[in-house]
Amino acid sequence: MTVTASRFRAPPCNMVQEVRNIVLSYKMGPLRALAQDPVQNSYDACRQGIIGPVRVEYHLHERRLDSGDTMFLLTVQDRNTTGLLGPALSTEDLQRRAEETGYLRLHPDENWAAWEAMGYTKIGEDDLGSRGQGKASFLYHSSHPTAIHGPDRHPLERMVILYDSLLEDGLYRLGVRLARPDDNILSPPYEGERARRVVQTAWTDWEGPAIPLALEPLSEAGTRVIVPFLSEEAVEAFRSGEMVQWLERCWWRAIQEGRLEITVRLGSGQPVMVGVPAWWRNEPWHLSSLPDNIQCDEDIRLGPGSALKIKRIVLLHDSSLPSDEVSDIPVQYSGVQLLKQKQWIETLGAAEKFADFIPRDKRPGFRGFVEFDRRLDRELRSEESPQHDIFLRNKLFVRQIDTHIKDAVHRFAESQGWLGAEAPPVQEDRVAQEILGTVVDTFLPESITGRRTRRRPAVIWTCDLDLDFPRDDSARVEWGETIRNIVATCRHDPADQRRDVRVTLSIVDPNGGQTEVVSRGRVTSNGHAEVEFDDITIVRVSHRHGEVGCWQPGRYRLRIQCVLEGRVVTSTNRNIYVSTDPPPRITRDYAVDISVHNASTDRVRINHGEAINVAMTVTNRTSNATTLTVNGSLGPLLLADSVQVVLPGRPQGDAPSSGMMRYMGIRIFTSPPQQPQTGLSVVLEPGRHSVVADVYDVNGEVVAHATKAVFIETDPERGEAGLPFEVKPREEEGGHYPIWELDPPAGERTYWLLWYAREHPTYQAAVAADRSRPEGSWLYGRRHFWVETYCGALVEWALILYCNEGNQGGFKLFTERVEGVDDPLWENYQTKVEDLMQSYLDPLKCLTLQREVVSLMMYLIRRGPR
Amino acid sequence: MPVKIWEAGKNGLSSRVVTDWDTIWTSEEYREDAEELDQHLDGVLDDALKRIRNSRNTGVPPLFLRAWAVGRALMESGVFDSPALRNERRQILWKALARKCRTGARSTREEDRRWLSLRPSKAREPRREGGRLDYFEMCWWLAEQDLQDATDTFGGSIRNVWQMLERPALRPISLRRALKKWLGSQPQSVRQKLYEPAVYAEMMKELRRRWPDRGPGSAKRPVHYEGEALSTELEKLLTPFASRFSQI
Repeated sequence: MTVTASRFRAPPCNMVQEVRNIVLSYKMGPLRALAQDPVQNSYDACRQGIIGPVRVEYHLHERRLDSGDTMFLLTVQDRNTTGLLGPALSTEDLQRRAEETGYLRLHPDENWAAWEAMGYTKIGEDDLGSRGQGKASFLYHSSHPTAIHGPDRHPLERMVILYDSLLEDGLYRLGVRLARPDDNILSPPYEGERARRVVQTAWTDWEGPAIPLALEPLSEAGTRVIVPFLSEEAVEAFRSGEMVQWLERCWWRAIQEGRLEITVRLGSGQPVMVGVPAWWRNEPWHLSSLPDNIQCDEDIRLGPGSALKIKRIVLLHDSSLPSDEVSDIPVQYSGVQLLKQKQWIETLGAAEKFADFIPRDKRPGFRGFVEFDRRLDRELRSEESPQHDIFLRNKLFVRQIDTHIKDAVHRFAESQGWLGAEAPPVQEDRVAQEILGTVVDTFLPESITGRRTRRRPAVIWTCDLDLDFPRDDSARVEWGETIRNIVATCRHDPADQRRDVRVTLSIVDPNGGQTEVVSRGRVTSNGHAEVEFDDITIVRVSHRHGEVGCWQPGRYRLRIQCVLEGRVVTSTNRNIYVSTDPPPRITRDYAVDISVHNASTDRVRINHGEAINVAMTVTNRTSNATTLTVNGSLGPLLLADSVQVVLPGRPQGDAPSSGMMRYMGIRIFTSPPQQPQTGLSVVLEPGRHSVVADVYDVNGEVVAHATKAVFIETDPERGEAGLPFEVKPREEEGGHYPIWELDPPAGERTYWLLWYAREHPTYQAAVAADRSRPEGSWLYGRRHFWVETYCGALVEWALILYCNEGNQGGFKLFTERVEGVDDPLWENYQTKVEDLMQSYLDPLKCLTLQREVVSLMMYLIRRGPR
Repeated sequence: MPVKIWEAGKNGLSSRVVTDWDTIWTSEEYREDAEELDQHLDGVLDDALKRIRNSRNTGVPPLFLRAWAVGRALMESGVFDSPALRNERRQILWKALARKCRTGARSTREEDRRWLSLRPSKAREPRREGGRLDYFEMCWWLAEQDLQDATDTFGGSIRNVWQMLERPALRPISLRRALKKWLGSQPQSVRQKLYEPAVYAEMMKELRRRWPDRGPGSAKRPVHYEGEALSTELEKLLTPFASRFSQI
C-alpha cells in the first residue's frame, strides 16, 4: 500500500458567488458599487507632492470578438496616483511572512499585493478597505456565460478583469484576475514589453475567447482596470447617463473641493466631466448673508464638552427644484446626505426621516448635506459598512449625529413656516402615564422620588461566595462530582455594631425554583462574618447529607442570602452547569457601574449640606484573575485615585467576579461651608453633575467607563426620573417610522428621548383594541402597547450603555432586587438579562435574548407584584 | 439677575431691563436693581481702560492686554459677589457689558466712545448656552493669573488662550501654573516656537487626549492632581514638542 503524505491545499471557493454576494449587499445596487469603490481606491492612492486632483477616467470601448460578437470593454484609469507599488506576492510568500513576523499584514507600499489579495490589511490602516469591494465591483460587471452548465442546466458564469500599472520608476505590469468560479490571479504578472504588447493587442492565455484589448499602454504613473464583457446593465447606464449621475452623487463634494476629477467617455466621443449638483455650485453656504431658503450650522459639538464635531449641516429648499432621484432606489439627494471625507455614504430621506417637519409638497425641493471634522471623520470610518453606503448605529456618537441633523431640519422647517398652526397639538396619552407607573414600580423602584418601596438603608450589606468547581476552567459539573471549599462572606458598612445574621445557601433550578441547602447563624465582628459550608455533591436525587439534587441537566445557581431580622439584606449567586457545557462568553471582559444615593433624605435632588453615598462596582467576566485600576471623581473631588482592584477569574459559565468601592456620606455644598469638614465633601455649582469612573487594565488602557448624574439644588430634567428617557409622540402622517426609537442625549439635551409613532399600525391597533375591552385581562390595547414599548426601550437603553463603554449600570438598574425570594419568573428574567450581557456581541443571539427579556418583563408586569 | 441692555437708535440711547427673575408684569419692575448694576459696570469698564493705560509699556501684545485688563477689572470689581448674581447664569451679564461697550452708554446716559475699544469689533454677542464661550468669559478666566504669568503661559496670544479655555478639563489654574513653569524651563528659542498658535493648538490637543472632558479617561483630570504630580505628567506629555524644536 502506498502512503501519501497529506498536505494543505486551498479549499474550493466559488468566487463568482462570493463576488455576487459582495456586490448585491450594496443597498443601492451594483451601479453604485461601480461608481463608489473604484474611485475610492484611486482617491486613497493619491500621490504625495502632486499638485492637482486625482483624475479618474471611465472609458467605454466597443470590441469585436473572434466569434464576431460585440463585446464592451470598460477601462477605469487613474492619474496622479502612486500606481500599484510593491512586489507581486504569492500565497506562500504571505504565509511565510505571517509565520516570520507573527502578523498577517502588508506593508503600506505593497499596493500590488493588496490589490491581488482578498481580506489583507495594510499596516497602519483599518480593515475596512481590505475586503475586496473594489475588485468585486469590477468583477461583477464582467460576468459572462461559459460553456459549462450547472446542476440546474443553466450555463455557469465566469468573471475576468485585467489591470495594468505604471510606476514612477518605469516598472510596467499587467495582471489578470479570474473567477471561473475558483479565484485565480496570473502569477507572475506580465512585465515590461510583454505587458505592453498584450495591452496593445489581445489577451489569449486562458480557456475563454481571446479578449481584444487594443489599448495604448499607460504613459504616466497610475493604474488602469480593464473590464471585458461589461454587463448590459452597466453599458446601458453609461449610455443613458445614469453612471454620471451615480458618480456625481458619490463624489460631488470631493470634486467641488478640487481633490478629484472624474470623466466619463463613450468610445471616441468627448469626455463628460462629472460635476457638482446645481444647487450646491458656488458653495452657497459661504455667502456672507445667507438667503432665507438656506440654513447652515457649523462647528457643532456632538455633546457638551465632546471632542467630536460636525463641521457643517447645510439645508436648502428651492420650490423650483424637481426631484432628482434615480428611481426605484433608496433616496439619494432628497434629504440630508452624510458625507465622510468628502464621499457620500448615505442619505437621511426627507420622507423617511423628516416627515414630521417637511410637508409632502416641499420634499422634492429639499436638499441637505452634512460633513464632519477630521476627528469625527476618522471615528466614523470604523462605523461605516464595508459597502460605504450606511453608517452603523451601534455607537452613541453616530446616533448623536442623527439627533443634531433632526434638530437642524426641525429649525429649518420652523424658519420656512412649515410647522404652522395646522400641526396637530401633542396629546397626552394618559394610558402611557398609568403604565409608566407600573413599569417603574416593577423594574425601577428606587429610581424616582416618591415611588421608592423603601428608603435606602443606612447600612450597606454585601456578600461573596467562594467555591472550587471540579474543573478549573468550566462551571460544568457532572452528577456525582463535588463542589468544595464553599465559603460565604458577609459584610456591612458601617461596621458600627455586631449584628445577628443568618446565612443561607440555596440552589436555584433551571426553572427558577429555589431550594434551601443549608443555613447558619453568625454574629458579625468588625462588620464581617464568614461561614464555611461542607462540600456538596451534585446528584440526580439526593439521599444523604452533603448531596444536592439536580434532576435535569442545565444551568443552576448556588445562592447565598444574608438575612437580618427576617429580611434578605444581600445575596449573591454562582452558576453551575449540570452535565451541560456552559455557553461561550461573547462579551466585554470588564464592566463598571456607579450607584449614587441621597443619604440624607428620600429624593434624587441633593440640596446644599446633604450627603450622598457612592458605590462603584467593577466586574471581571474573564477566566483570568486580573488587577484593574480605577479612577473615580465627582467634580473636583477625586474619589478613587488609581485604586487597585484585584478580581479573580471565574470559570466559563460562572457568574462574573466583582469588587465594590464605597464612598459614604460625601457632603455636598453649593458654597464653601463655614465649618471645616472632617469627612469627604465637595463644593459644586447648582445643576447637573456626574460621578465618573474609569477602569484601566494592566496596559493602562481604559477598558470600562461609566457616569452617573447627580442633581444639585435642582430636580432631574425630564427623562431622568423614573424611566431613563423622556417619551414623545411622532404626530406626522406618512413617515413610516418604526414603532419606537431611542435618541441619545445630544447638544444641550442631557436626557434620552423615546419617540413612538402614533401612525404605526401597532399603536393604531392598540387604540382600536381599547374600544372592545376583553374579559378578564387588563393588559390589552394601549396598555399592552406601552408595556411592550417601555420594556423594549429599557433593554435597548441598557444595552447601548453596556456596548459603548462597558457601563453595566443600565442593566443593574432594572435587575437589582435583593428581596426576591423563590420567584421562578423573576429568576428566569434575571438569567436572561445575564445571558444578554454575556452574548451581546453575537448579533443574532443578542436579538433573540432581547426579545426574550422583553417578553419576561411583560409576563412580570401582567402578573403584578407578589 | 436684572441687567440693563442698552440700544442706540435714531432717537439716541435707550435701555430695557432683562432678567431671569420671576416678574409679576414686566422686567421693568427690577429697573432699580438693573441701574445699580449698570453703574457698577461703568466702574468695571473705566477700571479696564485704566489698567490698559498703566500697562501699555510692558510689551504685552495689545489684544492680550485688553482681554486681561477687562478680566481683572471684572474680577476686582466684586460684581460676581453681588447677591443678585448668585447662582445665576452669566451670559446675561456678558450681553449687558457687550452692549455698553458697543454703544458707549454710561449709566448717566452719556456716551463714552473709549469703551468701544474694550471688545473686539467682530466678536458676536454671547451665544446661547452650550455654544462657544463668550469673550468676557475668556477675559475673566485669563485674569485669574497676573498679567506677566498669563503672558508667559500663553505667549501673549489670545488664540492660545481660546485653545486652552475651550477644553473644559484644561481650565483649572493649577494646569496653567504648571504649563507656565514648564514653558519657562525651555530655552527662549524653543519657547517662541511653542507659542506659535499651530504648535500651541497641537499641545492643547495632546493635553486633551490625556485629559478628555468626558467619556473614557475623564475620571481623573488636572483639577485632581496634587503638588508636583501635575507638573511631572505635563512634562511627560509636552517634552516631545520641545524636543522637536530643540533638535533643529
